[in-house]
Amino acid sequence: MMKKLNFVVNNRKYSIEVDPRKTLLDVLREDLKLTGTKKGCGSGECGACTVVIDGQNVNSCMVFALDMEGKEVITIEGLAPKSGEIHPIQQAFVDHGAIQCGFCSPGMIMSTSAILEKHEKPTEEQIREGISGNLCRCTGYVKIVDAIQSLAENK
Amino acid sequence: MIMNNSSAEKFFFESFSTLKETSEFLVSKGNVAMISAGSTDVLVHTQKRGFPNYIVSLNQIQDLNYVNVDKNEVRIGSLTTLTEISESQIIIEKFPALSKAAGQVGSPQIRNRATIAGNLCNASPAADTAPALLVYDAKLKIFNQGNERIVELSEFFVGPGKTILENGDIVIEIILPIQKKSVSSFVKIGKRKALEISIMSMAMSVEIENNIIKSAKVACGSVAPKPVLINKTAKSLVGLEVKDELDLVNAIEIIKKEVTPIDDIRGTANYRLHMLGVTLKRMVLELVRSEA
Repeated sequence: MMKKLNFVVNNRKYSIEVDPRKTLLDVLREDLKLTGTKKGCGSGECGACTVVIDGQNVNSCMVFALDMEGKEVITIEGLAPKSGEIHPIQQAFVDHGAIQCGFCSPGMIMSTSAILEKHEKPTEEQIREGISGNLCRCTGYVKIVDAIQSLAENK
Repeated sequence: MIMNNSSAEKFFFESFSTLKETSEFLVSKGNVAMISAGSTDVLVHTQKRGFPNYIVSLNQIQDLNYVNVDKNEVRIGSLTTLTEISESQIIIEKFPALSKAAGQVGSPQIRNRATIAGNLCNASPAADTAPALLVYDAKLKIFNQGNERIVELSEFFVGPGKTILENGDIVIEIILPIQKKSVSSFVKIGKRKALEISIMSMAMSVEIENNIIKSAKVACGSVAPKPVLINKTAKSLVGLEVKDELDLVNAIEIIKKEVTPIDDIRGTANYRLHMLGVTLKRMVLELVRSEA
């Protein structure tokens, strides 16, 4: 039976009917058409679906959509300050070549935003720990860590 | 638990704002309803085995997320997340093995959602927080339709995925008696640091005076059908004066006889036995040196 869900995504209020079996990831991609958040493993292991809920990075595939009642969710689409611009984290990833195929990037960038929220100037260890739930099969992580470090240094 | 791969018409997601309503609803539905909190285990179960008829979410219930301390005990609300536990100053100070264990579950994203009671109620033999809580003599407060009871964690697990919980039971609090003189630690053996299910884990809490072990508790994960206290080994440590690893040869022999792990996808029984000995030795020496 479909059920009502009221929540906020990227500062926009939504009040929608959802299939109660759906995860937050499914609702973001299928109902709200916010396909920037990727579906990788679907079982909480790869981090491609990472979004930020109330300031914390979370696997959106491991959350029942209906548990989001009254919550605030930020996805990769909501990170940039203005439409048509990119966020400094995204710019740092571009500048450092921290993207190859790009599939992990939305999740990696959302985890980065949570790391920078938690630590003003994260150490390399804190960065590596912070992205330990995000798998990247292309870059070997070095350039991703470089990109995040550059943000910490410029803070 | 009956799973039937419910269609949207037959599947219901319920959440109530009080424990009483939640518990009464669970009793009325019996074994077609499943409790969910952080949902990081529940959603993996539904993918493997299908949906139950009812998921009953605890997330609308207030006041189950806290770490409170008084003179003799620390009380942890059942919906406290593993991130909150691993970062709690009280837990880091008084129960370091628990803080270490909670900080090694899954990944940051998992720990931001997963709850302490969920890690226990899922009853995985590999549950990271269980060995730590076992050596601290943890007790669980369980609510059922307005009544509360307290059980020892050592009596809570029955087997893989099975606990003593009955219909309508909701774990609401974990109680940890403060142990003033003990030192403790936790180690998880795995192939990688993050997103790993342990091959073997061990927690230890010991009281040491002048290099002599006065009391000891040892517990392990992933070596039996449930997280277990390793009592014979712990007893063999008591009274030992530990100067170097030669003093632990006997205890290492005992632990290898006391547990009988199995071969599985994550590791062999032989590797587990070997690492039990290695970890026991390293941990006792680490703790003795920390007290010297």
